[in-house]
Amino acid sequence: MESTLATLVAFPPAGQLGDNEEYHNAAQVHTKSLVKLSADSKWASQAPELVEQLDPATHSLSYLYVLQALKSANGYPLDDLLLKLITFFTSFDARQIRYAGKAFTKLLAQPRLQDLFPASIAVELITTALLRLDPTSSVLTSHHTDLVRFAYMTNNIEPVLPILEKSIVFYPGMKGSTNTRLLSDPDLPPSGFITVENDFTKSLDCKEILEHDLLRGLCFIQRRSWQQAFDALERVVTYPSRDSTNASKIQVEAYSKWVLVGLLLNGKAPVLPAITPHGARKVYDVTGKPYYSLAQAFEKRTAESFKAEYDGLAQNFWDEEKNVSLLKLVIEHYQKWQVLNLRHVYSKISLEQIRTRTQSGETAAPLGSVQEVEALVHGMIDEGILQGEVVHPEDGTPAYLAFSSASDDLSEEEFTRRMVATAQRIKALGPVVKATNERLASNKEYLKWLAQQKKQEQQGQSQGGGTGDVINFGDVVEDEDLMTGIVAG
Amino acid sequence: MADPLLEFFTQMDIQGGVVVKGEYAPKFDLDLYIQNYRGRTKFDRLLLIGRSSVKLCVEALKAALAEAKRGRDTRRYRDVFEYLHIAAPNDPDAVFDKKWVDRQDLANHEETQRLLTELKGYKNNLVKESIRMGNEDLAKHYEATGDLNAASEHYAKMRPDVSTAKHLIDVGKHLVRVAVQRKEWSMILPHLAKMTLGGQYPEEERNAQPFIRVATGIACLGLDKYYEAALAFLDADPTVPSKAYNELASRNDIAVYGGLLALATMDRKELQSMVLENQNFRTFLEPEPHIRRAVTMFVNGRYSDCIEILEGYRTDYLLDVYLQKHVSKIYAKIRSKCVVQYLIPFSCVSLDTLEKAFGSPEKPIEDELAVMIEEGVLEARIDGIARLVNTVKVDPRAQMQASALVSAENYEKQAIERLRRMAIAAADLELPLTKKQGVPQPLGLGADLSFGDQEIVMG
Repeated sequence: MESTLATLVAFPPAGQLGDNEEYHNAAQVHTKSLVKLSADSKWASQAPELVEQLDPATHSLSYLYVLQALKSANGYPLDDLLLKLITFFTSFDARQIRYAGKAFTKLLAQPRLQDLFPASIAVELITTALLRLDPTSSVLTSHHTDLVRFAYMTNNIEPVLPILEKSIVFYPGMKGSTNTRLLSDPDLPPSGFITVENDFTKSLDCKEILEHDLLRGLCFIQRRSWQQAFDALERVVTYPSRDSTNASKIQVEAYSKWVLVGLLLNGKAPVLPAITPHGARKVYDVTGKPYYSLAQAFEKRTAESFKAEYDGLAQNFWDEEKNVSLLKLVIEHYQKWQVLNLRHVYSKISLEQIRTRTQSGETAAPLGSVQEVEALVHGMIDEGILQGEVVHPEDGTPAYLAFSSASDDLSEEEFTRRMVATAQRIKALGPVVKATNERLASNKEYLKWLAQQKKQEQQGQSQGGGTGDVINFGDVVEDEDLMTGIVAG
Repeated sequence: MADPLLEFFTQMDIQGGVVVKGEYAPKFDLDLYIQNYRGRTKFDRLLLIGRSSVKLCVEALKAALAEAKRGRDTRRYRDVFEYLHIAAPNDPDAVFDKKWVDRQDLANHEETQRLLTELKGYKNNLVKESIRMGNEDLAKHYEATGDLNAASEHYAKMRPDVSTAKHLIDVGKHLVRVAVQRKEWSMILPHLAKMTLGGQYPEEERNAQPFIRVATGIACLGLDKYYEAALAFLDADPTVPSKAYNELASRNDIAVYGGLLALATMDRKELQSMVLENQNFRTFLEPEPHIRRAVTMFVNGRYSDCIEILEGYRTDYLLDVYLQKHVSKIYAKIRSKCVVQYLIPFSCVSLDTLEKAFGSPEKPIEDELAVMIEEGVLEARIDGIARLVNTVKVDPRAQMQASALVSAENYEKQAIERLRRMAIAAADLELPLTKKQGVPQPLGLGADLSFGDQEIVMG
């Protein structure tokens, strides 16, 4: 028992470890001994005592293994276990855990934390744990996909937002990501240690990735964060493909929601980005037709064709497509967008004029009374989608809506603030770019290409050709070696 | 007589044709008008007037019937007779001349056979010039009898045997003429491009110039390229006799097409330099002084006068074979340009003043302004309470800031997207090729997972 404890607290040693290499070696030795210890028959019985002696923040590695034993053993009081799990996941040292991907994954998944804790706490706890391991959350793992699905299914979206809002730019199984750098390197990009080989994730397939982004979109739809939902769905809609004739069913589902969310967000039909794969485009053209025509009708000045579009389809179409609630919102927003578009034409407009100039998306007819219009406009001002105010003149003339004109122009401070924020976000991409660069640098084909490029540049210079961009005819012939066959034959 | 006419125009209306009601009488004389033209366009124009103008209907149809009978195309005769029969069944001319039709059909058939045999003979003799002429004769015959498809085919066959510059020009003219009759606007420009001689034959080129310009203009007009069309008409050479191009359009037409299209697409400075100070075009404008007046009014800033003049001639232009479809579009363009120009010197104009200048009882100016602002033609905001139109001065600073923000945000978005795509490619995670087995099988979500949206929490 004593000796076991001594082994457990041996890492990290009290004094600061010198460089990364020393740390790396020590951590590897320690992990090996932990694996050996946990295979011991006495291990499980000692665990309840050992756990009291360890600090999860300093002896994270050892704590992880002990906790693992407690979790799989029966008989340890559940309340204590849950408390210990929470302490561990909120305070562990991420650098140590890099060495114990397998144990970490097991602790999260067997049995699932989702089954041990109430759903909302489980979601929050896993979110915290994943963010502790990788604060940028830029690598997609199977934990992410499980977590987001669970959060959506149990409607606990708020606690998972910190992860949902991060942009995922790395995926497990990238070639060349097993790099030469040490796991202990503090500058190691998350894609360097969160890998399938280190057991931090299972390998994922494209279906799971699409599903993940679709779920993100659905989460944002529920939060009514239209811009974020739109972006997330767009990632699914434009997902790269090798197939020039087909698209995934998930993409088709995402497309329909993407069109509807686009209407809510911008009041007009969204345009497919240029990067949309050819095959997906073709599929959307066919399967997404009802949505697309609905979106086109949304832009029209009168509601008749809009109403005709959604009435023209059987009610069970929308049921089957599972877009009833979104559609309801779109119908509701039709008139709001009509009012909003008036701000481009009018600076002031009487409520009566609004009444005659806009139609309700539901009935395709103008609202019955000026009071209803006023309620609608007030609602929009309260929601923050409309900047302006309803004025009741004192001389008793009819009330009117005055659009505030300043809303279009930014103040100097606001502009600076947004510009700086964007610049910072772009700067924050630096490490990601660096990691991608490093990964590419270890790629054989890339190196070959680079060498070729260099050679051409040099040849261009030696021939007085100046810039390296100029490709001389001779180079091309030499590279392709067109003559070989002829000479040999 | 009123009843059959009414029935006729109800039918025309149903068929989607333009109908010019009785009270608007065109300002031209039908006989004088049609004398300006030569060839098959005469009939086309008469028929269009007959189908569109209530006032001139019977007169034009009768003239068209006579014109058809002068030619060899029996289909045309049948068509126009059908119309006349409905519009004026009691007219002495509305009697079907079956004898003539049969005789003509037979003669046409014999002539076709004769020309075909002749051509065959020429081909056997391998004399290029005779083959060219044989093809030309045959094509002309086809054109005269209304088989435009075969005509265009045989005109095109003339091209390999061309030996002089004049021949080359002739081939082009034939092909363009047929294409114009078939309303194949996009085919005209390639034909025209082949008619350029590269400055080696100045005389031929000079003679062909107005034909080429007019045909270019008509083709661009048909393709909705108004500015290019205007430039083409404005550039036509007035010294060449109209015989060179009146199979397509008359001198008056060049003035009208050019003037209207220039008004619709050019700004005041361009109108001044390219229309009013254009010596060539002035010659064309002489017989159509109102067009010159309208342009002058526009340049001088008297917009409502300009519109008034043009409105007076709207019916005339609705009866033109090429303009008919475009009149309302061109007029709308001119009108909105007038309003925009009118507002330029002011920062604020009352709606009532505008109403006085441009308004008409059936169409309040406010609605028109609203449409123009929405379409981005006009930068202004309407104050519906004080009844004012405030022009919006574009603030370059705000614009710059907005565009800077947009491009910065786009940059970020693109950077992330590119990194992500590189990662997807590196991880080999693109959507794979699906195996083709008849019906494409989309990758589906498992049945265990269905995304209900009923969970959307309202509020």
